Amino acid sequence: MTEYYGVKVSKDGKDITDIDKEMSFSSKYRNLTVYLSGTVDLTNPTTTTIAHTLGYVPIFLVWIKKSDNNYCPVPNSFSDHSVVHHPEAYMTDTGLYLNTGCDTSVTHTFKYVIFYEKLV
Amino acid sequence: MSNYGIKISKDGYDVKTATPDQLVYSSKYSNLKIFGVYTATVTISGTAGFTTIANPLGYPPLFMAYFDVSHGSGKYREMTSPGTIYYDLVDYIPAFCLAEYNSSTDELYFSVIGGTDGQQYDVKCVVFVDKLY
Repeated sequence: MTEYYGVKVSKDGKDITDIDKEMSFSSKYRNLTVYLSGTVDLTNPTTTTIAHTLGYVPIFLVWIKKSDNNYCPVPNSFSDHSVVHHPEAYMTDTGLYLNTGCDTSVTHTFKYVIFYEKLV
Repeated sequence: MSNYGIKISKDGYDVKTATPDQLVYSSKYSNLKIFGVYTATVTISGTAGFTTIANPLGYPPLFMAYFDVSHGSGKYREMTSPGTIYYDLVDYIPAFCLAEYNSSTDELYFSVIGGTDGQQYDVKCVVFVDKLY
């Protein structure tokens, strides 16, 4: 560690003096830290917003549970109940917006993870 | 590393018996380390547009990409594929977005097929220190 002071943990089998990508952890880089995660059920056609108080646009991930109980990332396009769905998710500096993206009256479960790390 | 290292349990869990998902941190598992967040802009010319970001690392990186639904909107969507741009249930634009690592050019590549000529989309790409492969 010649260029900075901090904490490093190497991956199993790797030397602590190896390059950064062989580290399990390094205080030189931020890790994705979960701010908020949860699930919400939405019945078509509807939208909801998961509020946050971070004051900036954070990194996030969203998945939707289809009728076959499989999860896929959102936004996406797929056929479910013989109808094409376009579930939508976008993040602003005040909240996460979720939209079922379909007019058929079906309930879908959204799973979301919002991180502290800033996207914008 | 079977019997030594660093572990931190979540509140309410015993660190000696906690399962991995009950830990805040374990040196046994690698963390995704953010190398940086990069910005680019896709401009639609005709019916499609693309942009690239040079790979800042010397190997294929793990990455996550987002773009705003309309230039300067402040509303960012993950660039999943197929990703239909569908804005506020009002301004439905049938278009598809794609984010990929191009191993031939060693670039991160972002494209939008469809949309409106002249429309711009800001791309935000989170590049991790961790290898894609």
